[in-house]
Amino acid sequence: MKITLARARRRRWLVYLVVVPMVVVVGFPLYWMVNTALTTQVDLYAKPQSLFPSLAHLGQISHSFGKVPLAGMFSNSTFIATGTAILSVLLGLVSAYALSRFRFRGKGIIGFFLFATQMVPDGMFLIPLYTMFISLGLVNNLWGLVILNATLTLPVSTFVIKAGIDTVPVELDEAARIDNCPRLGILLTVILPLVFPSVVAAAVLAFFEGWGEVMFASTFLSDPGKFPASVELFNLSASPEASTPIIMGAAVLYTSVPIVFFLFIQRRIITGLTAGAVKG
Amino acid sequence: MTTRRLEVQSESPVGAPSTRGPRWAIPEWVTAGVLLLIPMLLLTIMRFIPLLREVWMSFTNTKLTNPNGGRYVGLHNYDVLLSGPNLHQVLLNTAKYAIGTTTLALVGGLVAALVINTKFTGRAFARAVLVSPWAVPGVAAGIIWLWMFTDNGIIARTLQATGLPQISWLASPHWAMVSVVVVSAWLSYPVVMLVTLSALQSVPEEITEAARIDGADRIATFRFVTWPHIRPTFVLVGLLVVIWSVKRWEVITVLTGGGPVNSTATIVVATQKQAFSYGQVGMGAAYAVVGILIASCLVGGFYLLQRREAAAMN
Repeated sequence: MKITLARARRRRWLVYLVVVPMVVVVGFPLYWMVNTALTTQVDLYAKPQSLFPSLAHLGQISHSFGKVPLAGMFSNSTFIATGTAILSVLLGLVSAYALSRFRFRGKGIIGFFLFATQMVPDGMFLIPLYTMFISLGLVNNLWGLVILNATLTLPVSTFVIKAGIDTVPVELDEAARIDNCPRLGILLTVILPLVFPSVVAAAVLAFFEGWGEVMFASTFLSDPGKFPASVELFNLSASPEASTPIIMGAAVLYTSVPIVFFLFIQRRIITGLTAGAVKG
Repeated sequence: MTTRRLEVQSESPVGAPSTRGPRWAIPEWVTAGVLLLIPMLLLTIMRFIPLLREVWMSFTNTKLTNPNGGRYVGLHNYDVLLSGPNLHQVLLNTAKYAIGTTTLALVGGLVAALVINTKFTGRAFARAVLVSPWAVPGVAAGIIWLWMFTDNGIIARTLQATGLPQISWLASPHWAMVSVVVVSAWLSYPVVMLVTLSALQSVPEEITEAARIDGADRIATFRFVTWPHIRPTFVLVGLLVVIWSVKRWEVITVLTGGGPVNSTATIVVATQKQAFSYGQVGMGAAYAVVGILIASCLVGGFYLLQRREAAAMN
């Protein structure tokens, strides 16, 4: 008994020996972002940056309001990310339903097509998409980005939702069909409530994509009034006259949105994501 | 839970024809076609047509000033690409970046998952901190780390305090690559950790206990019992990290812009730069076509590996 206790205690020390440095290293950049946001530009360069934030500068984050068009960039980001999530999930839901419940020719090919598109980096299509968007008049249009992001996230949404539908017994559909329920009715009233967690996971993943995407947005948008937060921050990071604490303040606000989302529905996302990854 | 799923699968395989529908029912393939029409149309417009367009553009001298007015120049762009040193370097950078990121993310993710899988005080907090980078948008990560890597930044100060030699992280070609790999791994490892963690939690406790009773120590138990169980999932998530890291653009662009002297320009960064910084859209398309060809080979490899892993799982 004594030996096992000693052993358990030693093991606990071993765990802390690994976990404490990891937590410090991984968490530090986020801490440093907040800390830098709460310093002044003068303090930043006059002496080595303080390791601890001074709460006296808490109001400084609000200074970003004057220097960075926060209201505009966050409403644009919200529009793009929400639009992406809704469209991606709607399309993913019907695709997943078709792939999970119907038998038809070419199903394997469609599945492989979905899988393959996921594997080629989106950036490889930047050039032809740019010229296409010019021809279609979708440049400088937030809807264009919504449709593009939704299409790019469609395979993931489909796989995540399909993994959910696959676990719903087909007998439930059949029972509903005997009662003469139409196909769409089955999807909405029988299946959707059961796969809701997967739908939420897919929506959050698509939202993150829309919120973070910057390559297409910075290429396709030239009107500063339409810049989402990602593009605004991207431009700030390259601008020599931008003040570091102000940039960090805006970055804190920008990052806090997905972090809050994530902490709430972490587990669901992971279940959905694993299913999507493993089923491919 | 597991038994229910197994039972369902054995009784009625997914997509089994439903024989009991109403007599006037529309054929299945018609309904499926209607459901898939818009998704497939969008994927064709946003993926397939651009692919054809890209291949065509790679044979033209299209310039950014007139993006829809390129002239056919045959294999000229490929000639330039294959004879110059740039493409070679870009592909090497991409490989270094992807392999570096994946290795670091897999090791970090596995260690984190193993630690979080044990019980200790503060575990919920540690878990929340360890997964948080997953939710950080790439641009924000770039901005934060850029500030940490600057010459008088916190990393330089820490090294100085510990008496280690100073490194100009983003100015030397070698360390710039290390820097972008670190940031990229910081962003990617939480997925590895979470997926591995869920695999670890699916290892039946009876078999690890049985191994312990049979006298296996912790390391042997991991190696011969736990590892074979989580390996398929671990390999898959590793391949996903490879693919995700090849996709990344914003982290590298914010941190180094592909420099110094092109040392961190991966295929995505080089393509974008070629077209939108140098205005050589046709040449950029040629880079992208090479990238797509390589990605296609990786997809094929992934597909085969996945089938093998799936077979191993059953």
